Amino acid sequence: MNVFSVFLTNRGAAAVLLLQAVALVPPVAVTLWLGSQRTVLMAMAAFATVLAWDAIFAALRDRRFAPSGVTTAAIFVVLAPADVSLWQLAVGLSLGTVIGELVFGGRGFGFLNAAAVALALTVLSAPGMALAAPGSAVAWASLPGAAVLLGAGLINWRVPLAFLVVVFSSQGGLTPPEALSILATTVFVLVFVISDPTASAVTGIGRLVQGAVAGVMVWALGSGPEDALRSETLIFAALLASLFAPLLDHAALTLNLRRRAARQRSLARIDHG
Amino acid sequence: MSCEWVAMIRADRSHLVQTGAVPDQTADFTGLPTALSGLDFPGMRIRSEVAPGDAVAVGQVLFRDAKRPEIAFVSAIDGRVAQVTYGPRRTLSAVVVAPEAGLRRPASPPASASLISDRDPDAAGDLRNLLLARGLWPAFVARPFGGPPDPQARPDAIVVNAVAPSAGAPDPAGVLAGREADFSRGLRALTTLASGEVHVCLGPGTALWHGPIPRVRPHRLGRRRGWGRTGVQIHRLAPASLDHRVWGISYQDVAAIGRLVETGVYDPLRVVMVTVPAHGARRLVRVALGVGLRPLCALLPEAPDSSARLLSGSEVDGRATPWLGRHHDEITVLTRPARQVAAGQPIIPHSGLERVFPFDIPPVPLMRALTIGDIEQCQRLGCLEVLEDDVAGLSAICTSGTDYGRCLRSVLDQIRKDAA
Repeated sequence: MNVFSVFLTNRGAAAVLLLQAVALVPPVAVTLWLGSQRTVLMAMAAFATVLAWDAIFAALRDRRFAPSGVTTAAIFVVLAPADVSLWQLAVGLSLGTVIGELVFGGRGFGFLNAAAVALALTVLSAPGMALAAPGSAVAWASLPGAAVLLGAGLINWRVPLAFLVVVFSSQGGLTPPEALSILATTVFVLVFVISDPTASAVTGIGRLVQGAVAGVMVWALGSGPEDALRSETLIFAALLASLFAPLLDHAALTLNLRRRAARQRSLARIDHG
Repeated sequence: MSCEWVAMIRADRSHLVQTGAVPDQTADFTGLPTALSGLDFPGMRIRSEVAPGDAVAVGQVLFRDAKRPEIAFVSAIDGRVAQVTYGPRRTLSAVVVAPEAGLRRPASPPASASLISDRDPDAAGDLRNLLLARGLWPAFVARPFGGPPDPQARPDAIVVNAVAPSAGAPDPAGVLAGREADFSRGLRALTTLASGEVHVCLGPGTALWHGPIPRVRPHRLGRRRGWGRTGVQIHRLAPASLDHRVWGISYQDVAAIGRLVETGVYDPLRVVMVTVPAHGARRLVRVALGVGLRPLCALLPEAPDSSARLLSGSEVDGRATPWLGRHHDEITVLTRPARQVAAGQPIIPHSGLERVFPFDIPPVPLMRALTIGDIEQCQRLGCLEVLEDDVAGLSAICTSGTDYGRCLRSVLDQIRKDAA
C-alpha cells in the first residue's frame, strides 16, 4: 500500500476523478505550452462543453454535480486535430460525453471511454481530418501520471503490458530506439484511454486479452507499419477493445467457474474416495 | 507513564507477531457488560428465557433459537440482564448482561466425565447435546448461509482457524500456550462431528498439539496473502456449496470445547488484541465474549476520548458496534472520522478490491451482481462461499459505498428460502 492507494481506499469516486485529473495535468500543460493561442481557445471550449453537459445531467437527475468531464476534455485537448473548428469540437465532445458516459448514469456506470468516443466521432464526421500526434514532450509528461495511477491501482499493469507485447511483436525485429519511439507515440493513449479502469475488463485474463486485442486492432486497422501508430488508429483500437471487454470478462468468468468446479469435484473425491 | 507503556508495546510488537504473546502479558478485564448481538446471528428469531432484571450466572441459558430450540445461547458473565431488544420480525438485536457485584452465584452444572472416545458410537450424540445445551454450538459458523449450524447436520468438513488473521490479532501459539491439551481434546471432539476431515490452518513454526490425531489435517500457511480469514481458508481447502456443508471455528473456541468436555466448565473468556493504529500501540486483553467495547477501552491506559471510533474486528473490515463480535479477536480504535460516501456512486474497479478480497472469485462481477440483487449470477459466481465478514472489506473500500454485507445477506436468505 502506498500513499495513493491509501488516499483512494478511504474515499469515493470523487477521489478517483481527482487522481485521474492530477495525472492529466502535465500532458495538458505541455500541450497548451507548445500550442498556439488557438489551442488555449480549444481547451476553454472543450472544458466548457463537458462541464455544461455534466451540469445539465446532474440537474436532470437531481444529483450532486460531479465534474467527471474534465478528464474527457483533457484527453480531447491533447489529441484534438489542429484544424478542427470550435463547433465541430463542441459537437464531438458533446456526443462523446453524452453517449459514452452520461446516458449510462455518469462516469463509472458505462463501459466506454468518453474521450475515445468523442475523438472517434470527430474523426468520422470530418473525413480527412487527422488527430494530433502527441510528441515526445507529451510522452514524458504522461509518465508521472502513469506512476500515480499505477500506484493507486487505477491502472492495471496487465492491459498496457499485453498491448505493448503485441505491438512490439507485430513490428518484427525492433531496435531499442525504434521500440522507444513506438512507446513515445503510444504512451499517452495507452495510459489514459486504453487502460481506463471504467472502460476495461475487470478480470485478470480479461485485461490481458483486452490489451492484446487493442494491439491486434492497431496492427489490423493501420494500413502499414508507419501508419499503425497514428492517433486515430490507437483511438479506434481502444474503442473496439473496450467494446470487447464485457465479452472477455464473461469468458474469463466461465473459465474461472469451470476451474473451480473441477477443483471442488476433485476435493470431494479426495474426501470421500 | 503512557509514553513508556506505548514504547514497551512497540518493542513488544515485533516479538508478538513473530513468536507469540507471553500469557502473563495478557491482562484480564472482568466486570464489564457483555451482550449477544444479532449481527453475529443475522435473521435469527429467538425465544428468550430471561427478562430484564433477572440475575444470571456464567453459562446460564439466556435464549434459544426459535426455529431450532436445541441451540442455547448462554451468558458470558455473572450479572443481571439489562435489556432484551428485538429487531424486525422479532429477530435478535441484543441481549445485554450487566455485571453486578455480590450476586450469589447459582450452583454451576455438575462436571461431566470426559465424553470423548473414538470407539464409542454414542459419543458424537452426547457431544452434540453437550455443546448445544452448554452454549458452545454458536461457536461454529456454517457455510453456506452462515449462523450456527443445524443441530443434526453433519458437515463435510470443519475448518479450524489457528492463524492470526491480521497483524492486529493475537498470536495463536501464545494464546494457547499451556492449553495444548484442551486444544487437542477439542480437535478430537470435532472429528466426531464431521463426516469428512477437520482441517486446521496453522502459522509457520507453530505446534499446537503433539502427535497426529486421526482425521485432523494440519495446513501450514506460511505467508500466503489473505489466508488468515476463515472464509478464505474454507474457500481454498473445502469450498462450500449447497451440497457441501462446511463449518468454521476459531482456535480459542476449540480450546473452550476441549475444556468443556474434560471438566464440564464453560469458558467464556477470549484473548483479544486492542490496536490503536494512529499510535501503533497494541494491547492483549482477556475478556468475556461479547464485551462492551467502550467500557473496555475506557479502562485501558491509552484510553481513547469518547470521539474515537471503536471497531470490532480489523481496521479494514471491522464492525462499528458497541459489542465485541462473537467470532472476532481484535478491536481497533480509530481516531479518523468515518468514511462518507454520497449515494449513487459507481463501482470503479481498482486493485485495492482484489487486495481485500483474496478469494479466487473476481470481486467486481460479484459486487455488481450483489448490488442489483441478481441471485442467479451471485450463485454462479460463488456467493454461497462467502459471508458478511468476507465482503466487509469490499464495503469499506469500494468507491460506491454500498453495504455488500447487507446485499449478500438478502441474496443468501433468498437462496436458502428457494432451496428449502
